[in-house]
Amino acid sequence: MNHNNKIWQVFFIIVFVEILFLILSFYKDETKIFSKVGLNFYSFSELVDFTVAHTNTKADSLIDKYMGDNKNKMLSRRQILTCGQNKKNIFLENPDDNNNNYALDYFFDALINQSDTCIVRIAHYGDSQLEGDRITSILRKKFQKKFGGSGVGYIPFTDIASPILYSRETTGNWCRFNVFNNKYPSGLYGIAGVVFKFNNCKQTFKKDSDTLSNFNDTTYIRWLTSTKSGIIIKLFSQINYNKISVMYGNSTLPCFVKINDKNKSFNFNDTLPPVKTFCIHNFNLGNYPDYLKIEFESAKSPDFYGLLLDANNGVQIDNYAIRGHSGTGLLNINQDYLAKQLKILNTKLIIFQYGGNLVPYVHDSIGYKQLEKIYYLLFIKFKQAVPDASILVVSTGDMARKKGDKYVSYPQIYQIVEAQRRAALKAGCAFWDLYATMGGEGSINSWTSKRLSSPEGHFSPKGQQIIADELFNTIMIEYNSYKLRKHKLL
Amino acid sequence: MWQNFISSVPEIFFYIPEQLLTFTSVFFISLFTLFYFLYALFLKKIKLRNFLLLLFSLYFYYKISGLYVFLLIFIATSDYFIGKAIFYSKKEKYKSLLVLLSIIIDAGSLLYFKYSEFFYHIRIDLINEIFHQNLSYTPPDWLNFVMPLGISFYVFKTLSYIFDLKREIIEQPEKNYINYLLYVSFFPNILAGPISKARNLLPQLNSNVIIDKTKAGNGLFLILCGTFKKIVIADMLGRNLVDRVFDAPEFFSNFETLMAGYGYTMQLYFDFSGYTDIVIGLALLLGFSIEPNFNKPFLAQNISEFWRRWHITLSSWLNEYIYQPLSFYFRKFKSAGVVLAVLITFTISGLWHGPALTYVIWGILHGLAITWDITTSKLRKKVSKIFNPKIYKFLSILICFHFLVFTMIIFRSENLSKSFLMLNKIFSGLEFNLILDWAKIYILPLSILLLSLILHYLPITLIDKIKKFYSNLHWSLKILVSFIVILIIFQAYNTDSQAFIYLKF
Repeated sequence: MNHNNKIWQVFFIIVFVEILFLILSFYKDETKIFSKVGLNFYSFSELVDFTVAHTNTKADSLIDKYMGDNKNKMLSRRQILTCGQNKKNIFLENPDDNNNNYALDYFFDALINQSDTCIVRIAHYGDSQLEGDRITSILRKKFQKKFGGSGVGYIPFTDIASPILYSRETTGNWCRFNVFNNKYPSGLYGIAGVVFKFNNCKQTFKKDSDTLSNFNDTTYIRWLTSTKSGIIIKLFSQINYNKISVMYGNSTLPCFVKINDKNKSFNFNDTLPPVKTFCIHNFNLGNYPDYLKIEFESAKSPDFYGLLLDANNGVQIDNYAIRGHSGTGLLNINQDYLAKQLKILNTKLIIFQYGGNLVPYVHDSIGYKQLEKIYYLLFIKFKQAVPDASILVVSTGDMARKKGDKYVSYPQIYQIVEAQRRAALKAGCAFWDLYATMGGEGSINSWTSKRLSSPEGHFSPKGQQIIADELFNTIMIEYNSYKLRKHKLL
Repeated sequence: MWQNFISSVPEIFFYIPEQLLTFTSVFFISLFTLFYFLYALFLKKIKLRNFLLLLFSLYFYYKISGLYVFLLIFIATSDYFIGKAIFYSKKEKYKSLLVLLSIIIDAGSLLYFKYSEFFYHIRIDLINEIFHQNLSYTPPDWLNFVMPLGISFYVFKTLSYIFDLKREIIEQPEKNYINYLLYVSFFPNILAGPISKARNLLPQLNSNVIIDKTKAGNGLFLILCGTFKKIVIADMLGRNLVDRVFDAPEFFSNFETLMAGYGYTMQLYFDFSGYTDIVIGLALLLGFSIEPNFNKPFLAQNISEFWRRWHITLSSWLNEYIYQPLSFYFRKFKSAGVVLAVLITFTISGLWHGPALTYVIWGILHGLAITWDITTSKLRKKVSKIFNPKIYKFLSILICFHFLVFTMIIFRSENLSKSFLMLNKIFSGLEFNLILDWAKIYILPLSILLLSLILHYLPITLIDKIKKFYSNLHWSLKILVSFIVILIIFQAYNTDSQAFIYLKF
């Protein structure tokens, strides 16, 4: 053997490294040494698992139903789901309180009795699945088509996500506090779980002529002392609205408001009077352009909670999404303050669509129990804040992670969905199983292969359309049952 | 468990489109170990060694592209015989006709399998536009196929052989069919390059190889480095930042869009250079040397320099076989001819990357940037004298880098409207007040982005020292170091990992 030739040495290095990993894969199951030191590795069974991640027939049938647009495919979907039984709404649970009052009845009641005279609001809470008005905007369109209403609903003054229906430019001197990762000490958050201010708050980045340094020059942290701030909203398409409202509170000084359109064809001036608690100030402009420039001026910024662009009646869905949030931060909102806002806004349906951000971190029985407990507290909090509104909990959908060469669903999703279900039903809320709707375990592969979702569960525009359609149809099936029930009672 | 294993046997060994074989998969590693044992046994027997390597290469390609392995064999075989015919033809005219035949077969296959759908779409667009029709894009059955992976790379490899024979840079055609087929199908670089020229790789296949201490050490080091680059940096950036923004840019803020642009630029570099490191490392372990593909591209001060540092084997191929003949052909137009040759070359380069307008526009923009370099070189020289050389260099690198980032946005976008949307967002003002919010959520991709910049700008001497240190380690320590590095890489691998980006080109 040529001693310069090290091919056998290379071979043995490769083999020994492989043997070390093989040994550790056996130990992973027995001693859990990896989890103790926070390391992650295959067990032996995972190491030799070369099976292909196949798609999922339930998921395929749902996707086909939308892609193919033909009745046979819808029939095939129903057959796959019900195995011949003609069940309806198999993914939604709408519990009753033993007096023939179902969880969604408050909302349906408001749709029938109030939507002609005032706005019936739906609060759609969620995480990055919804940010920028994803899914919500499609639902809004559907509800408004059926029950009337227009406008885009809730507009935050600033947000990390870019909205789909309008563009937003701000003066850059807005501070944004939220229940998730930048808490507001008083707990007096707006309904969306956020507070915006343009002075008397810490702003962390931009050197601004309106700001004074509270630190030396090496830092970008500033205490905002600006007296003016503004926002420009440009609606992308012709969206009618009849009202502009500012949600604010906790103000001690008047705040002057100036509103212009693009051509400055009108110049509207008004004042937000000082208020201690939550308040909505409506501006009756008489003219509602698709370009709005709103400027604020005050020596002390009120707490702003957002803008509303609404019609005078019908249905409005507000998108309250916070990226990375699991929903539990909403427990930080002052209870009375929350109750007041929900009441003033006439919110009749609250949809919670969370869970995706918890999936990677909750994977044992203690975690599932904690999750159930904390979600129960959240649902009960809202239930108590607004007893005459319905709550619909939407479970997390299927999500995948890379396991070797293939994407596989997180195995714990089913348990997490079950925990969400238990919490929702215990709190008297309706529950929609998004995970099962998508097709259950492994369905994410079908969704990603058809480019309807990313493996981690963010839906593409077409995927959002499918989810919104399914959710809307599910609610409408219950609505029709409600009408039948009421008709029978009469 | 064993039942699962046994039931999955057909899926393991046969081609499954949903599960491509990658260098980082457990199956590939197991298979390679077995192959390497046999390879080591037959290392000295060149014919047996090459035959074994050919079988492994063809099987590797079969696992990735299924029956398209026969297309590869067909293209290689035709060029093997055309090469011989070129050599034995006496008349120049026949030689040229044979080259043309080779181009028709090779480029024809490439055009058909890679670009038919693209041209079909253009045809439908034109019909709809001119004749006011409303034809749908539903492709006919003859277009209903999956593109064979790596075709752009192996077609360029085999064409380089034909061109070099015609130009007599290769003096004699390859005598051994097995060796030629092996050159075309050589598994380390069949999928995404580097595009080895026949004159570099074929002589190595014909000779004895020795895997000495340096080759062995460097090979293992490059494989570890490449895997780290791919899994820890490129994939993590892709999954946690880039993909989500590029998939739906309308939902992301202007600042995030810019960060995704930076992210993609670094992701593509670390993905492709990581892949190349693995390829060169594997080849070194087999005893062969493959040309490098990258040389710190983001140190380039202009786009011409960038192309001397980025995907070097492709730019060298395009330069040698397209740009130079074209500029010779257009020589009577002087500098206009050079510009024309540059623009044609880069349009082809864009189209080579993929059948989409985004790639074509990207190629044209790079062509225009090089035209700018050529036409303003004197002016820039004068300007450079005004500035401090270090400041001038820094500014040049910064401007060049940002040109790359903005054109990469077009390159990566699903379509032109999405790329315009993203660029429009970036240039219509960034929300600096959201940086902290963004950083809190994106702490992981932000850290990886910073790490990628640091790694890219590390001095080559330092990397060489680390490489040398690893190579000089005792074999037992090499095992330990490799084990630890792989274990660290695995922490990122098991959560998210993607196929190599350049496989699709």
